[in-house]
Amino acid sequence: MDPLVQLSESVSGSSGPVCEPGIAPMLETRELSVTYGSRRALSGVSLAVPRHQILAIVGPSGCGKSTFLNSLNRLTDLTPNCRVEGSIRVDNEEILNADCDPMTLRRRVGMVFQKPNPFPLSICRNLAIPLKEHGCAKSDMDSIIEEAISDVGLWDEVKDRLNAPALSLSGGQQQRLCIARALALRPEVMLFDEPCSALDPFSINVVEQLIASLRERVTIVIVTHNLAQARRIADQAAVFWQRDGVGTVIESGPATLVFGAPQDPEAAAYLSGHCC
Amino acid sequence: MSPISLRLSILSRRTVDLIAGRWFCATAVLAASIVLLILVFVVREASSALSDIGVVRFLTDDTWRPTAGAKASYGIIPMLAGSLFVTSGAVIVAGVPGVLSALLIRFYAPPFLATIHRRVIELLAGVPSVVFGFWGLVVLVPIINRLHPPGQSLLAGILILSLMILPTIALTAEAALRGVPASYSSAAAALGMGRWATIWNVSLPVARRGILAGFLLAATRAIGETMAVVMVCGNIVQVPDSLFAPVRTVTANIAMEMGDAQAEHRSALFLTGLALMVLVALFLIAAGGPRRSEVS
Ligand SMILES: Nc1ncnc2c1ncn2[C@@H]1O[C@H](COP(=O)(O)OP(=O)(O)OP(=O)(O)O)[C@@H](O)[C@H]1O
Ligand SMILES: [Mg+2]
Repeated sequence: MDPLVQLSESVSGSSGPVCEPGIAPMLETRELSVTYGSRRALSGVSLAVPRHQILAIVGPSGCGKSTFLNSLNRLTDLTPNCRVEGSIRVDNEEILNADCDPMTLRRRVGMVFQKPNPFPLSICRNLAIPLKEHGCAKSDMDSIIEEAISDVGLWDEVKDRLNAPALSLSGGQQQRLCIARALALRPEVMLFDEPCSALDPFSINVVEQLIASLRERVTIVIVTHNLAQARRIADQAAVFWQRDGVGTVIESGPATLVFGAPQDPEAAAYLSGHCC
Repeated sequence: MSPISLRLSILSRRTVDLIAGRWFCATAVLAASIVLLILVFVVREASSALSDIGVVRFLTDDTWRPTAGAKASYGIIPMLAGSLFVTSGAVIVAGVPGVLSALLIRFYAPPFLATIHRRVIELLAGVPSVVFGFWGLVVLVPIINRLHPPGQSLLAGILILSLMILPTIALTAEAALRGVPASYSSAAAALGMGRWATIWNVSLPVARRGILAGFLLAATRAIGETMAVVMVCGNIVQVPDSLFAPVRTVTANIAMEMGDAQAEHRSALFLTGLALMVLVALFLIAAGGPRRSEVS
């Protein structure tokens, strides 16, 4: 059977009620630390995200949020001298092991960047290229592409111009196309690095609701500078902070607790907006 | 800042802009008028051949024998064919290794190897064409002669020219690939695409225009190249019937005959030069055409 189809069935098969406590989380890091050359950017990050929940990460600039996200799909491999230590488990499988193939991992763990980055090719090719790379059969291609574009609510806007350049879309549309491109690979986890910060208020709303709705299908980690947005969509939350020049987590847990009653005084100040 | 000093700084900035604008404009006009002057000069020199012999004979005479008195013939088609074959052959031969070495530098080689490779290519670009010709004559031509005499041939010209234009193709392709924004490659990586898939589907299509511009530059260099071609091509006026046949290019012909050409002959040589210029111009227009429509 086609591996993509098989995967989609295993994903949809496990959907339904949000997992109960005690069941292994979809994504879990333990004592994760990242160094760039001799400079430590992140240390001691232990976080867990249950299946089909959204973890929102907030924190001031430069405290290692993007670094954390990039280590979750081993995009850190692309940075020379970047070393990741500790443990990252995706669906109970250690991804920092040498035998984990980063290409396969990145299909399972999709990523959307701050600035929309569709390839400067046609709308259709943007989805077709990665699908082909992961062995999607030609016969299934069209239906998967239509489904993914429909999932991000873009189908009616682009169905008549699938061969138009992706760069002719508006910023918000481009970002949704990038989400569709990742979704077409049927990932189990999606990482969003400030996906709304380059968009206009209307598009922010659209993309935010889209991300919230994706919770039914994938487990999500989102970095955002917009605290109100984090409050609206998060199930879990983590506050990153820089201590002695090294990024770490100072507050984490269910979103209601993190935002409602933060324990750490700095986190409390930051979350109430009385900071820096 | 007070309103007055603000206005002053804007004013002076405007003056700077104005002077810079004028200066660039003057430079552009100067460059264009030099080209125009050369064109006018060539047309004037060629005009007596144009009126006395006529374009028709240049295009229909079957060979080039301008000094045969009453039986003189002025066919430039064999030499134009020679120029075109040598040039297109060189671009085809140099194209693939040129782009491949750009890919090697950009994506595959470790930094120090990439640097060495680039230096070697830059060195190749600095070799004078007469040295290429000399090397071709003493090394390449004998080898080809062993395969199929006489050795001095279209093939020798193609191989020497491809060596000469390889740096142009490789360096422009490398610059074009370097211009592909990093956000595309991280997007591709985050989608689990391998290196070759990223190069083939994303980097090359995005850099396509720059790479093709390099091919064009290389082709115009090759079609105008003279010295090396004179030395290795054999210089027999004929439409070549095989890769091993000697050919004479338009530029080689001018270089060999201009020294002692008189009157009609001299003017006819200018006309062949003009024909080559027109050919290159048509070629550039044809290559620029799709680019313009693509933008709109
Ligand atoms: N490629 C790199 N090489 C060296 N240091 C890096 C690299 N990327 C990030 N860093 C360093 O790691 C630290 C964390 O950076 P990171 O981009 O993860 O922060 P961030 O929390 O995402 O910030 P922002 O909110 O501004 O996006 C910073 O001090 C940064 O200088
Ligand atoms: Mg960041």
